[in-house]
Amino acid sequence: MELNFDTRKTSISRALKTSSSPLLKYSSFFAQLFFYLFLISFFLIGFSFLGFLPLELATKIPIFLLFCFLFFLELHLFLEFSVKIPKLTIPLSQAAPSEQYNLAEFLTLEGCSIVEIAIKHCKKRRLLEVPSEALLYAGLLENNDIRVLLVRLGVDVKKTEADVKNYLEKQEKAKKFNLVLSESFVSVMKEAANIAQERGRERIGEKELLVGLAKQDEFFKKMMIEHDLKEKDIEDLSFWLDGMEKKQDAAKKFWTKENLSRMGSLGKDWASGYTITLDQYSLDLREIVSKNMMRKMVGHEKEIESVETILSKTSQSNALIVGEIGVGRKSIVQALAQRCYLGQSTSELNGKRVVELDMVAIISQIQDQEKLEVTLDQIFQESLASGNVILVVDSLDEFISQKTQKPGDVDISVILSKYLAMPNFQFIGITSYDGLHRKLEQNSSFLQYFRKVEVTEVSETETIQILQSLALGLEQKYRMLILYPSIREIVNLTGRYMPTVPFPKKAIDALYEAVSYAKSQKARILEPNYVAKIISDKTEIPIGKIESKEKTLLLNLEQLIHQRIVNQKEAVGEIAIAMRRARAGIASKKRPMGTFLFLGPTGVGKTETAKALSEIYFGQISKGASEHHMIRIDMSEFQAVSDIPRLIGALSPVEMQGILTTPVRENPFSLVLLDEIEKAHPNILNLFLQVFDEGHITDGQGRKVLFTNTIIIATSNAGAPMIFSALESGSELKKQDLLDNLFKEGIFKPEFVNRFDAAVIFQPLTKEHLMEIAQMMLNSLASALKEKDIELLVTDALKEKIVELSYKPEFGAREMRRVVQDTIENKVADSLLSDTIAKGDKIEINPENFEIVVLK
Amino acid sequence: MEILADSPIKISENKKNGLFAWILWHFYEMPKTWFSIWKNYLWFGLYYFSIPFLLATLFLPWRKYAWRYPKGFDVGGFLSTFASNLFSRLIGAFIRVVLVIVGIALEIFIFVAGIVLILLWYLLPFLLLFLLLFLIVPYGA
Repeated sequence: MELNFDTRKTSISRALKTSSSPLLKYSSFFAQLFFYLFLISFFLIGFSFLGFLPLELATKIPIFLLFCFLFFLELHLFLEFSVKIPKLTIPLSQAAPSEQYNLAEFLTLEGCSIVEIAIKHCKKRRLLEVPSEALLYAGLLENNDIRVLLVRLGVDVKKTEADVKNYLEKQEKAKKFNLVLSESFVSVMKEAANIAQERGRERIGEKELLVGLAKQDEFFKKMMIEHDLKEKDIEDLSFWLDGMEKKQDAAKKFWTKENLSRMGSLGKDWASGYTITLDQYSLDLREIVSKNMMRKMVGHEKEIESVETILSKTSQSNALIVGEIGVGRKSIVQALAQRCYLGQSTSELNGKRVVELDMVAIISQIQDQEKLEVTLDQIFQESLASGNVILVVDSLDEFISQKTQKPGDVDISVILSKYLAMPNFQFIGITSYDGLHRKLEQNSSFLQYFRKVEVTEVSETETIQILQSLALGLEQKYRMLILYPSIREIVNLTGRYMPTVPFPKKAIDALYEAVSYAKSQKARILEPNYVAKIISDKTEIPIGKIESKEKTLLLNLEQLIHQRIVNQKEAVGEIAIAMRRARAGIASKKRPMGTFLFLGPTGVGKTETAKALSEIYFGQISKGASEHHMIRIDMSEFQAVSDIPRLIGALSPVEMQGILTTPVRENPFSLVLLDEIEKAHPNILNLFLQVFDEGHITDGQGRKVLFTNTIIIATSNAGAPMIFSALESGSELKKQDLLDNLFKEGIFKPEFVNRFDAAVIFQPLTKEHLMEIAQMMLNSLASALKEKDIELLVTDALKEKIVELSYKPEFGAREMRRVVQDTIENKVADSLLSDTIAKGDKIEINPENFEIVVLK
Repeated sequence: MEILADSPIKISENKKNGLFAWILWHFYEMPKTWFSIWKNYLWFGLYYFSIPFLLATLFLPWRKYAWRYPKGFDVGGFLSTFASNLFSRLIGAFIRVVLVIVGIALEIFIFVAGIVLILLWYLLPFLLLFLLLFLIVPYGA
């Protein structure tokens, strides 16, 4: 790998040397010092009149100070505007791929300083070559930005500095130092040059060098693994810091047009009418944005442009912003207000006021319907007449009534429609999908006046940027350092565990909560464990430990299920394998955690296995009760297409919540048990094809319901006769034969069955298995009695009797529960109530007549 | 690997002579910056006082206060409305003219200040020399 790289004869190195000379380095300080001294020195002239000082001296001192001030000012400006920025005649993109050009010429002052210190250090230690680690050492030693970046990443800077120094000490040494660049140094430099080009930078700075180190340097990579960091973290954080610095630099240049325009302008409203009534019930967003000019919107560029285009149209300039709550709908309006204020929008919108109408205030202050209508009409009239108002109504759907108006409902659609049709009326309505489907779509004559702008969720990267910007304010407020890994953790965890709330709201809320929680714990640094704690509390899932806990669970899944289920080794094995495959990260993250079809006769443990899986998986991972995490649906209730609304909800004719979708929305970490799936209508089964493939479904209310955190188990008795006949004939039943038979009989379609992670066959139970089940049932009774200090002895004779009474091959173990209840549990209950048995007793049950025998 | 020989190709503007570099910067490059700042402030004067906008809307009624002319033949009503509308336009024009005058005054100030500052910048090295001479030469010599 060749690299033309030598800092010694570059302009940037000369600039570095020049700017390091004390005269230039401290020129700004001296200029300020002499300026103030010059002002103070005027008093000397006064003193000279009083005779304390000769006039010559009193005049020469201010002139000397003025000379010094002007001299240092000149030096400072020369340093800042010329020395520090030597101009390049060739762009980096042209020079980087070629070996003709000296790449060192493209370093920034800071980058050059790091490289030179690194080389100097190696020279001092007479190292055989300059390793890339020397760059890291020099960066840690000299560069503030690198230290800040690493502190924000949660790295112990002092320890790393000592470690890398130690590492460099151990490098091979030469008798005499020759400037030889190591392979790793060259790779880092080339990588840094690529990153600088990708970011559109003219030169290679310290941040690009750091990203280069993260990608190419082995020492840095090890350190990242130790701190659970990824290359992307370094890239994202350095990119963000770069952006912040650019913003700060831009803000310092007060003379630029952009900064000057932030001061606003006078007289723009004079050609527009007053809006007296509107002002009473509204919030002028222009005033809010004028106070917070530095705020920059992250993401939603397309949506803002769409709103601008709609509002700039000559007719029907009414936008309807549709999106889930928390997706950033109001931020779009604020960004528009900012653009209008700064004159950065279209010529039709520049200088206009974006005014949010406070409908709640109007409704609460004006009770009388007629008066309310008159006031609203007045407000809309004023907005239209003024000619410079863009009116905004948040939650527009709340103020639109359905056909059947309920008491207390307010309907502004009739009055508003009159104005929406007018060409100069500019209006923005904000609504959710729910509101759009439930209210606005029912009133199509009103909806036709709007052009829709759908707001999608911002990406995870954008959310990280939003959180980083917010974090700066929070750090000042709470005097706390918010680590980058904590921010990444917030985005990761909220993304995974809170699928129903959109970004950025869920992440912003979590950040605020995590900061308050850390503050309450008197912490000075927001570490990822605080984030895990608050999200764990919110979702009832112990997130911090989920990974290690889940691993142990998956590895022991067979054993754990067998504690509850007798026989079915093959079935349980298949489930465990499928679950491990799904959760090891090999399977698609978009699909449900696991989808299984349990086939077998009744009473063999299909439902019980599902329950056990729910209890083991969600009961142990989650803090909540496992029943809370199991959604059981009897599919025999869904034998007609008309039953679909009950399953996924509907808006009309009557609004109803879906018995499948709503619980999954509310509790996304659940096991969905679809009992007797074969009895459901085929079209209903088709609904599940998308769930199995894509991991989501749209419910009757138009909401996207995610199934990515669910385990779906469908049970079916179909094929039981074939299983029995195989058992009777003693032949081995092949799964594929059974499935082929089911396809042939038209019970299931192949595309339905093939979408399951596994179709699992449950074998009928033999008498021996039932004995085990009887033991398990009696054990559960014994442990209940033990809590009352009563010991129950379970005899083989009793178990045999229970099995004898309950054994029916076609019903499996289903009868056993009833038999145990009728014969034993009832008797024990009676005895407990009649005090026949008391604390400390040891009892046995007579298998013949089920009478209780007290042994002690 | 050993480093390659220094590139013979000129990548950045070589400024071997510090004095020459300073002269070039002071008398050519920096004035360009001053001119651009001056231009920005001249633009800002017009923007802040909305001078082009106010001139374009000079005779529009003040705050859109306008009255509709009566229907039918009503000379009195017509004249009264005409007078009211004229008055509204005159008030509008008067207030706008006041702001335009203030704005233009500021523009003139920025214009003059810009010329003075740029001239001073050109003269700064000579001023420094003059001050130095003043300090060296004894008082009254």
